[in-house]
Amino acid sequence: MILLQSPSKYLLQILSNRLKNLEKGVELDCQWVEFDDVRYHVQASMKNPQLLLLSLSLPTPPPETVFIGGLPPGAIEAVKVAYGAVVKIIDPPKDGYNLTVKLNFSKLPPDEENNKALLIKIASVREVVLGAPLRVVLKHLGARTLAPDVENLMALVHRPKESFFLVPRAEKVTIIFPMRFKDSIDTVLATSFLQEFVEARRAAGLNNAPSCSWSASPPSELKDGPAESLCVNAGFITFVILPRHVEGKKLDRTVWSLSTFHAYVNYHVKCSEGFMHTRMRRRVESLIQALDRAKPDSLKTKRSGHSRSFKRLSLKDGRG
Amino acid sequence: MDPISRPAIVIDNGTGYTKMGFAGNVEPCFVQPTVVAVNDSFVNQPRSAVKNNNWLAQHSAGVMADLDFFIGDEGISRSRSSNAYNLSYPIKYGQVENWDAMERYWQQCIFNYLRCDPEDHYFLLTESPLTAPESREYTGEIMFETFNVPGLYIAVQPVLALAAGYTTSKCEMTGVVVDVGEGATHVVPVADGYVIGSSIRSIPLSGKDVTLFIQQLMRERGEHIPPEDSLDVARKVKESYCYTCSDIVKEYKKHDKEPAKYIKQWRGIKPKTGAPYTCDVGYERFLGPEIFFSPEIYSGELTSSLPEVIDKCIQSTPIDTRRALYKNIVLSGGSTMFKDFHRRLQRDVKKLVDARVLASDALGIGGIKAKPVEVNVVSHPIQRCAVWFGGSVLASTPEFFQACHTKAEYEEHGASICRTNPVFKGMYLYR
Repeated sequence: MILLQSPSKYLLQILSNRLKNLEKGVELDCQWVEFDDVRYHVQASMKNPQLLLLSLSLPTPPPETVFIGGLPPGAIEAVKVAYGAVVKIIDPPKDGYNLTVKLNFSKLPPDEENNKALLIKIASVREVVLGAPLRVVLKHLGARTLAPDVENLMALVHRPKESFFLVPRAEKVTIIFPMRFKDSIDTVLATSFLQEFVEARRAAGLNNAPSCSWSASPPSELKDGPAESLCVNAGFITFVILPRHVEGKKLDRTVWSLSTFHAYVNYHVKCSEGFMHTRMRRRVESLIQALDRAKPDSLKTKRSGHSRSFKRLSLKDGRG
Repeated sequence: MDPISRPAIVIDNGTGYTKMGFAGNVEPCFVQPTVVAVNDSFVNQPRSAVKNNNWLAQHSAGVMADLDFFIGDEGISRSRSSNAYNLSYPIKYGQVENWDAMERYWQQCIFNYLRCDPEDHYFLLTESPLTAPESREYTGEIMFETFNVPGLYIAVQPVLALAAGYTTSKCEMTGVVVDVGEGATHVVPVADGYVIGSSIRSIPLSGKDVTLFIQQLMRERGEHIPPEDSLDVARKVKESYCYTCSDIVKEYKKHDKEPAKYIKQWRGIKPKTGAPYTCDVGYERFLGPEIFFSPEIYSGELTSSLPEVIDKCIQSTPIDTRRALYKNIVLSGGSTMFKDFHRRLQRDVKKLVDARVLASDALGIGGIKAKPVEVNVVSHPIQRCAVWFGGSVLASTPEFFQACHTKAEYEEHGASICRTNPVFKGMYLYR
C-alpha cells in the first residue's frame, strides 16, 4: 500500500455488515481513533436497526485556523451535498465530538453499485469534513476563479495544533507544509525522504505532477504567517497546484492527498525504518554465517534451520 | 493530547488469526489470518541477467517492492489470483519465526487496517506462555524503534483469557486456561496472575487438526468436493455444523435412526466451472470435536485426551492451588466454540477427579473422607476472542499505563526491559 486510503476500513466494515444483517441488527457501541487524532464513535441499537449514529471528533485547531461552530468552514454544506437524504446532521453534536450524524439505512439507494459507492463515501466522512475548506478553494481553482472571501494566506488544520498554509490565486494554489516530527531519527529520515521526493519529480513521466520544492527555511509566502508555525525540524515543502490537477475525479484525490500529506510522510518514514531493519537482519545473518565458518569443526554444534544469534531457551532446559 | 488519554491498541497475534482493535471496545476491529503475501518476483533476479530496457522497471519496482505485499484475507485472495505472491506464515505454534514478515504484518495492521498513528497510542501485544525472553526483546525493539510507540506491554495470553471472565464482583486471577487455537493447544495453570510455567501442558491437537480430520473423513466417504477447495470447505463445515456429543456410540445410533434430522447439506460452487454441488455432512459433525476427547480416532500416536491432560496438569501444580484451579477452568480460543464443548469437558474432568477421590477414600486412613472437589468449566460468549477481550479490559484500566514500558525507559536501558512484564491487578478493588 503506497497511498493512505480515503475510506476508513473499520467504518466501512461496520456499515456493510449492518446493511447485510439489517433485520437482525445487534447492539453496537464502539469508539476508535485514526491518525491525526480523529476520533469516531458509532452507536446502533436493536430497537431501530435502520438507524446508526456516527460521531466524529476533529484534531484541535491551532490559533491561526478558523472553525465555525466547531467545524471547518464549509463542512456542513459539504456533508449535505455528499450524502443527501441518507445522512441527517444532529445538532448539537455528542459531548466531546465535533459532528454527529444519523444514518438512515432505509434511505439508501436500492441497487448494489450505488449502495456500495455511497457506503464508501460515508466511510470517507473524514475527508469530506476536514477537507471541506481545501475542496472549496481547489474547486474554484478548477474554474479558474478565486473563492469568495479568502485571505491571502489561509491556514487549515491537519494535525492536532498544527496547520498547513494555502496561498490561493485564480490560476494556481500554492500549498506549504511545515513538517515537524517528534523523534530525531524520524526527522532525519523525513528530511532526506522529502528531498528525494523533490528529486523524484524530475523523473520522466512525472512532468504533469505538481511542482514541489523543499527548503529548510520558511518560504517567502509565509513571511506574514504566525511565528509559532514557522519553527520546524524537517523543513517546509511547497506544492503548486494547477487547474489541470483538480479536474473532475482528480479533485477528491487531490484534496485527500493534500490533507493527509503529513501522515503519508510519517507512514513512509516508518516503512523505511522497517525496510532497514530487514536489511540489517539479513546482514547479521550473513555475518553470523561467516563467524560459523570460522569455527573449528569439532566445536560446530548441530545448527538449526535458521541460524540464530541466541540459543532459544525452552522449558525443557529449565526443568533440566 | 497525550497518549494516555487515547485508547490503547490491543493486538493479539495468534498462529492462525490476529485480533486487533482498540481498548474499551467489546470486540476487535479486525480478525485477520496471520499471513503475509509477499511479491518475490523482482527481489531475487540477478542484476547482470536483466536487459537494459528492463532495468528501469526493475529499479522502480525494487524501490516500491518492499511495500508490495498484502496481509490477512486480502493476502490469501491475492495469492490465489496471481502467481507473483507467496504466502508466508510468520507465527508457528505460537512463536514468531519470521521477524521480517511479522514487522511487515504489524506495519500493515497499524497503518492500513487500524489506521492510527503508533506514536499516539500505548500498545498491548500478546505472546504465548512458552515464548523465550529474547522474543520479547525483539518485539520491543521493533515496536520502539520502527513504530516509536510511547509504551508497550507484552501480556501472556492465558492471563488475558482469565481477565476476560471478570465481572465487577468476581475477578479470579487463579484458574486453568485451556487455549485451543489454530496452531497449538495449551493448558496453562495461572495462580494469582502468575503462570506456573513448569505445569504447562500442550497437546499437538488444534483447530487445524479438526479441519484436516473432517477433510479426511469427507474424502474417505467419497464426497465430490473439488480438491483445491476441500480444506476450505472442511473448515467452513467445522465452523457451521460441528457439535460435541456426550457419547459416540449413542450418537452414531441417533444419526442412523433419524438421518433426515442429523445429516446436513453443504452447498458450494465449483471454482473452475461455476457449477453448484451439494454434499452430505454426517458423522463428521460430532467426530470432528471428538478428537479432543478420544484422540486415537485421529492418530494412533496420541493417547491422552484433553480432560486427562487438564487433570495431569492440575495434579502437577502446587497442592494448595489445586482446588482453586479445578473451580475455574476457563476456555479460550476459536476451537472451543463447539456447542456443548464445555459441558462435555466438565463431565469428563469431573469423572477423573471423582474416581481419584473415591480411590483415596477407599484407602480409608483414619476414616477421613476428602471433601468433594468442585470442577467448573467456564465458558462465555466472547470465547473466540477471549484473549483480545481480556486485553481490552486490562488496557482500559488506569494501572495499565503505569505497568507499560515507556519509550524513555527503552532509550535509557535498552530492549532488555521488555523481558519482564509485571502482572498488575487490573480490577482488584484493593483500597
